[in-house]
Amino acid sequence: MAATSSRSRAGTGGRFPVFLTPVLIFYAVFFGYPLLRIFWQSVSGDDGFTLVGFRMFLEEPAYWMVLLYSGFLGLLTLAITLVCGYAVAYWLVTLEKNWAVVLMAFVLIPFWSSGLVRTYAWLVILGRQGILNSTLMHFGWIDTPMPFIGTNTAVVFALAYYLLPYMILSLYSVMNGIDKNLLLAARSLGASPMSAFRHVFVPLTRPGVLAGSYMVFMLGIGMYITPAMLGGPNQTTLPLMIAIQINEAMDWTFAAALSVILLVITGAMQLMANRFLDFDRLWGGAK
Amino acid sequence: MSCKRLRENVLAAGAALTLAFSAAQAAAEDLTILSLGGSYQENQSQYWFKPYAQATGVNVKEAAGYNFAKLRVMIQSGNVEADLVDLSADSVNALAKDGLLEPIDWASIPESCKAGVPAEMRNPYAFPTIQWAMVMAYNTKTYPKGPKSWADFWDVKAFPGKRGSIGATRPPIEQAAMAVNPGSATLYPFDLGKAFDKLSELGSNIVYSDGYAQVVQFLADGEVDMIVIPNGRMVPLIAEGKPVAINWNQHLRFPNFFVIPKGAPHAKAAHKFLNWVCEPKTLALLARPTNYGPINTDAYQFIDKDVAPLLPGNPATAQLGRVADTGWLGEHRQDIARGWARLGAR
Repeated sequence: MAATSSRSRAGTGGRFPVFLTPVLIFYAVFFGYPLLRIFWQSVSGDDGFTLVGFRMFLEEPAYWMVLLYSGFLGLLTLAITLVCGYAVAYWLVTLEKNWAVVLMAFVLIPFWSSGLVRTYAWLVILGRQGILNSTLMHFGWIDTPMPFIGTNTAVVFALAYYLLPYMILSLYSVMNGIDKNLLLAARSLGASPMSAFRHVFVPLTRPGVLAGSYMVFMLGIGMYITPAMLGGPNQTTLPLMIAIQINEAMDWTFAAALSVILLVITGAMQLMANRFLDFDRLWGGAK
Repeated sequence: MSCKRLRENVLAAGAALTLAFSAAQAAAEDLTILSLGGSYQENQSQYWFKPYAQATGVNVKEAAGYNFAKLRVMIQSGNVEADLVDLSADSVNALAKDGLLEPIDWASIPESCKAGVPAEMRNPYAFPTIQWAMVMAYNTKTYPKGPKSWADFWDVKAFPGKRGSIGATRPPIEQAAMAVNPGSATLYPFDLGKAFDKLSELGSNIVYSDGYAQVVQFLADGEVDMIVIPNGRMVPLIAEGKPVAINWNQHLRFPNFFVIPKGAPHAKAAHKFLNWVCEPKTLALLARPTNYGPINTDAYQFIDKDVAPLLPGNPATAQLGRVADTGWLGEHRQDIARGWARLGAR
């Protein structure tokens, strides 16, 4: 994102911003170089150049499933956060400014504690003796505890909870910039409230929807701690498999190959997103 | 200042610093020990590291919290910050194979230390200290007639209830293999595919966790009723009087070692520490607080009668299980990871 904005500035101004040099050097040394090393590691084995890491991935359908599951998890999380986030963000922009600020703070409060702690909280809630099960059993709705931990339900819920603020923030910043008079104009021209919302408001929120979806999906498929703590073997994601390869299987060539595969996929998504998204418009608000 | 002058000055300052540093080294010997953290290291510190520092004046520094990946990078990069590392057998094999460990000078180890160490444990690159055992632990309220074998662990009809284990990092495949073929003496090599088949049989009756602490917590909370766990992890629960017990049948023992990483800055100091800590009486001190058993059998002379039966490798339970073949496990790491991925894809 920083790169995008600096490029567009440079494009309009035409001069290289010298004050960015320290940042660029920092990125080159601590981000660019390690990234190149990962690429290098993915094709170097004990005896020099090798494609064995990529072949291992292609030859084992179980690894494709791991990748597909990561994508499925990202999409499902995206759908849930989009529906919930859209409603919340819309409600926030219709509120009086003071209230909106207070409630926005509530959206941001989860960021104060670490992701690990928040994931652990889900263990407490969803456990067999957890708050949810004991409540359901107290009211006699179920007789035996439901097994939430180690299921898609637990992972998707926790992931959606974790990523919802990102979606709300993206949508809110765009919705907040939409001129309410446009809706009034639509109404005065005879549109029903529903129709004005659908044909005027929703299309204007498109940049927010795309940006939020992009962010949630990317973070969702890259998330490590949630599937690691709340999932079982069926919830093995690509980041989890990379960690297993590094720490347990000790096959760093394969781990690097998996990382490159994940990187290429996210890179492709980034290129696609750049085609459909106008980041300047997003961060500056809709005009 | 000219470039040349600057360089000369810097070199001179560097030389002075080096001199000053080596002088300081000569005054008080340094030794940095990297261990596994938690209550295990607290006990090591209390009974081994601090007494050694007091007795010899060596400046012992401790570090904790490494994993194999970080350790390998540290040694490979040549920027070795530890002189002695507490390491599991499979990691010893992997690092020794890559030539990343200093050889242990067994000739300099006192005779009184060597007598009780079984011949197969005298690793040229690692000094054996304790052994832990992968055992079955269960809730004695749920199962008054406790499960006796891994076949029982898999028998969800006779023993209804959830099972717990750590997952991806170490799926209980040996236990699964022993549930099929109970003879632990003929355990290795076993068919990994069949072991994972057996594992998938348990389906949602088993809950996998990310770490042992969580597995133990699940048993303590009643979240699960039967677990696969290193025996030492059960010490706090048993001390608290929780209704839990250990089944020693078909347990697997895993030795732990001290190793000196290649390029350790104070390899000599590390050897001196080994020559001190290796005494059976010193090794025995860890038995009561950790319930990990000494590998040196002579240490049992210094262990109380009430503690000895709780230790892996003690004469009473040793025959019920066996030493794990960490060499075989090390060779099949990639197959185990693939098996785990396949288990999820079923």
